[in-house]
Amino acid sequence: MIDNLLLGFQTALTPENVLWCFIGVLAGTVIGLLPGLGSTTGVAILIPLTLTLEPVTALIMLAGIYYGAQYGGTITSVLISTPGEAASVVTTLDGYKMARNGRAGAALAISAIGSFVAAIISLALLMALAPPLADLALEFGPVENLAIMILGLVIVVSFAGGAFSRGMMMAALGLLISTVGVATGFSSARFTFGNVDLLSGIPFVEVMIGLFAVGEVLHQIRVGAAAPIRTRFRDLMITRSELKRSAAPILRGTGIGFLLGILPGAGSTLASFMAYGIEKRVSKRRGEFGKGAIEGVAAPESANNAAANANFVPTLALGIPGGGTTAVLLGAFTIYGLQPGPLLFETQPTLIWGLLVSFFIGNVLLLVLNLPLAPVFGQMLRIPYGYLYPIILLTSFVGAYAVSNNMFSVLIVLVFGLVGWVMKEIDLPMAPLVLGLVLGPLLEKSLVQTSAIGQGSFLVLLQHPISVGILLVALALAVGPTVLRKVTASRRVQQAAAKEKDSVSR
Amino acid sequence: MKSGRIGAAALGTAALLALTACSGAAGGSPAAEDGAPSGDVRMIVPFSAGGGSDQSGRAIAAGLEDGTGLNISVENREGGSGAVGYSFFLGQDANPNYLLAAETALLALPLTQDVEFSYESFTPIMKLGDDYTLLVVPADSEWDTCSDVVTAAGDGRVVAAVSGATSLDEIVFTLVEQDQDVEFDRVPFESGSEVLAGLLGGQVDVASLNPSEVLGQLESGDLKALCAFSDERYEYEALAEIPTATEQGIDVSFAQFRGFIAPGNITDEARDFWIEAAEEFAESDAYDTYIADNVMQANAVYGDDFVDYLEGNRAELEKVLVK
Amino acid sequence: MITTRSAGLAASIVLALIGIAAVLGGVGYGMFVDGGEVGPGFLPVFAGALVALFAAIDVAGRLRRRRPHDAIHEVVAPEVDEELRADLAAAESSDLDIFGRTQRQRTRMLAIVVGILVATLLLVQVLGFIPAFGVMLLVIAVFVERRKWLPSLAVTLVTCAVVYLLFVTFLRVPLPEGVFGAL
Repeated sequence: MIDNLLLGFQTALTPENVLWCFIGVLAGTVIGLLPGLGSTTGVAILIPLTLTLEPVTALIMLAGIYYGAQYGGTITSVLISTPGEAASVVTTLDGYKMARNGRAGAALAISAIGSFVAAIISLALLMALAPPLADLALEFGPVENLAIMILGLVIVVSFAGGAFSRGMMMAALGLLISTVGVATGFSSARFTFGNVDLLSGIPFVEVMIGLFAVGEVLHQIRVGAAAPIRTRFRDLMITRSELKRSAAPILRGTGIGFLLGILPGAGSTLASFMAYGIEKRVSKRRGEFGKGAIEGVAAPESANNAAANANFVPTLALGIPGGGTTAVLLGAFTIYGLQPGPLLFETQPTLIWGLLVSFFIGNVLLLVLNLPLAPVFGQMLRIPYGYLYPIILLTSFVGAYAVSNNMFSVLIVLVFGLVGWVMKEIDLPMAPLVLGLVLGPLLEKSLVQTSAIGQGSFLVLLQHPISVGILLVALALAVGPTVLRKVTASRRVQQAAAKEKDSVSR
Repeated sequence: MKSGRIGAAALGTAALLALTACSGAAGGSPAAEDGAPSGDVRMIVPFSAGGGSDQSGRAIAAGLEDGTGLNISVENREGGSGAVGYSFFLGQDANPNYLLAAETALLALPLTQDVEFSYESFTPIMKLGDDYTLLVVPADSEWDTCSDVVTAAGDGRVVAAVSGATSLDEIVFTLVEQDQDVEFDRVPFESGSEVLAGLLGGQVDVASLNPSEVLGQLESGDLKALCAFSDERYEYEALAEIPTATEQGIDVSFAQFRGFIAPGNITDEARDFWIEAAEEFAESDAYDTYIADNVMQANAVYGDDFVDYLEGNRAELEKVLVK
Repeated sequence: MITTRSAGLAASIVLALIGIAAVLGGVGYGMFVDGGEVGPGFLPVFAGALVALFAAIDVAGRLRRRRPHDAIHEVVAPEVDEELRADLAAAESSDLDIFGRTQRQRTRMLAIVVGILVATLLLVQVLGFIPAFGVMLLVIAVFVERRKWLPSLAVTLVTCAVVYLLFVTFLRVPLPEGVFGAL
């Protein structure tokens, strides 16, 4: 272990590698900032630039883009309600509200700190335990994944909050939209009306840009309260009490993110939504969620960064990608003539340990880069809205085009921009819609697979011990709080809570 | 008042849809007098950056650049399992400055989806090589040959992983079923790596994967390969021991091809130009490296031979996909 | 506003109908395939039924309780700057924003911006992607937002240059070029 670490530092700390690591995290931050361009597209687009480098150096840079993009994506989510990736959708809920309240700097700072802590903890676990964790992850097949989806949906129901039926309606609509195109395991297209572009479904990144970025711009034009957000520099710094409030959420978010991250397929989006849902359940300040609670930024940001790092567990230990971006990175391994697989740790110790140590260096660089920049980025909101919103529109549409080089994406952004504006006007929640859209294909896949394994019966869910355990947790979370409240609280308290909840709802 | 505005916006959007659908995107430089390509050429990859098609597209583009001195840039136009890219390519009819990195979707899409193209719409130039599959099982499996697996499938339940309804492994399993009159229970996955995870985790019994996808697991001893669904044994050292399915009495061989095509109706000069460039590429070290890195079999064919190959391949696919 | 509530009602009714249509479509695709395994129609039926169900509940709820909601309350969190809150309250009560535009003017602005967006997308084929959106930026800044010409032009040029550098030079995105060629 010590030898390996030393080897890693020797490899990662050469001036050339540190330089490329820096270039990687910087490029990642910029790519994360651009709407639509997440880490997957970013890494894939930039692979050709690295062909002349040594494999270690190239991979250090590409990985830097990956986790750098996680930091960058937060910045636009918070400042202009434009999530760079599905995993940062949740961050807009409270992050953007914080920015509107003049606390953009604090939101950005806590997400940088949360991301850093999450990254360091997950990296330590990754270095120490990757092979056994990877073996554990293999135990999670389609049946267990279905159980996790059910657990996720149960936790996320809490998103609906006051307007329960409308939240559920939008989540179901998201699921429904996700069924456009060809289902896993079948060749017939659904709801495409002969349109070739729809065969692969309605792309969620474009939907997200439309709903959040364009929808918000259209909404703001009509609301008209578009004063530049005036803040004193002092207000942009994070306070001690905010840090204290965020400590536990960061740790919980890291745990959830890491657990979901090591499973191939479950992904960081579900992790960030679950972390938010859990915080909302356990927090004493439940009423502040959705209005600028710092816990609502700290937890999902930590979760998605932990998941991003945990994705490397199956990727490096088994040669099986944990997510979209790691799949592209594994493709890069082949381009450099490296054979991904379970033997990488043994056959390429210099490469693997150099890469892992470079994650530490990259995350330190990102923290150093992001903390002082947080207040500076916060100042961006001083740009008069008359300039800012057409710029947001421009970058949203260019970003959408760049996702798949297709004017169809641009149309999706426009259509869902209008949908998003209507939703804001009539007060329908957007986050459940995006969650439904992202989870839909995963849910459908595990449904199809589970019923194929069970030959048409879902009883297999109860035959696998792990899935039974997960379902029990889901059951406890679903009815637990109600039972607890019934036991401990008096009727009076209950009434007061109900009243408070009612005033929170819109 | 509000609903009126929404209606107007919807109308505008609809008009826009119609307009963009009619007009093809601009791009590419004008061709030279005799119709041969000159200047900037675009290589369309109908799948996302970083995948197998992207890698072959980039390898071909780089190889052709060296030979022709043209500037060839790669463009990923993904969506609809390749349908978006091929449909875009259909719009470049007679333009010699476009190429497309093709694979089996060129044949499978017209058979399963409502698309406007078939391979006859284009000018096939070169097939680089074939990517066959190996039947793999976990190392501790009781089966040692493909015949063992077929026998087991005849006696009881064998769960096979497939990575899609028109994917290579689905086709191979169906061909085995038709050849041997047995049935496999299928669990669908979405990619080779998901199938690999399912196999290693014991959720499925057998899988049929490309050598490049399982080489790591074969070397580490986590998986064993029972047979190769190819005409001949692999020449690679690590794979040379694996018998073909035919040797074990199962007459199945099916490959995913990789190659490139030009738009339809280009001039004979342009077609000859690209075939010549392709032949030059096949002689280069870059070609050998690409084939070896992706553990393929280097069966390059050009022009009319490629068309014949596509014809035969489609007939076989039709038996499997059109039921 | 009256329209907000009726629009909400209309949206829920439309969603209920979409849900029902999806259920019918899903049944057509086949909920189950050979021997009761989940088929391509399963999730559409499931999701469509849920949409219809919750949309119906929402419609029923809206019809039962008609309570005008407090717009200011939801925008501003309790701990926010008193000054900002006062500002917003003032804006709301007088129905003017900080530039003194009325609600009706702002609604018209919104319609114009949407119109400009549609026109921009049509212009992409002619001018190319970045020039078309550059023109959009300039037009919105100068004509809709009534900003001064020169600063608007400067913002437009700088933005276009940055976008070009990032997307075309750095990321090599093949943005559509117009009939006049590159950029």
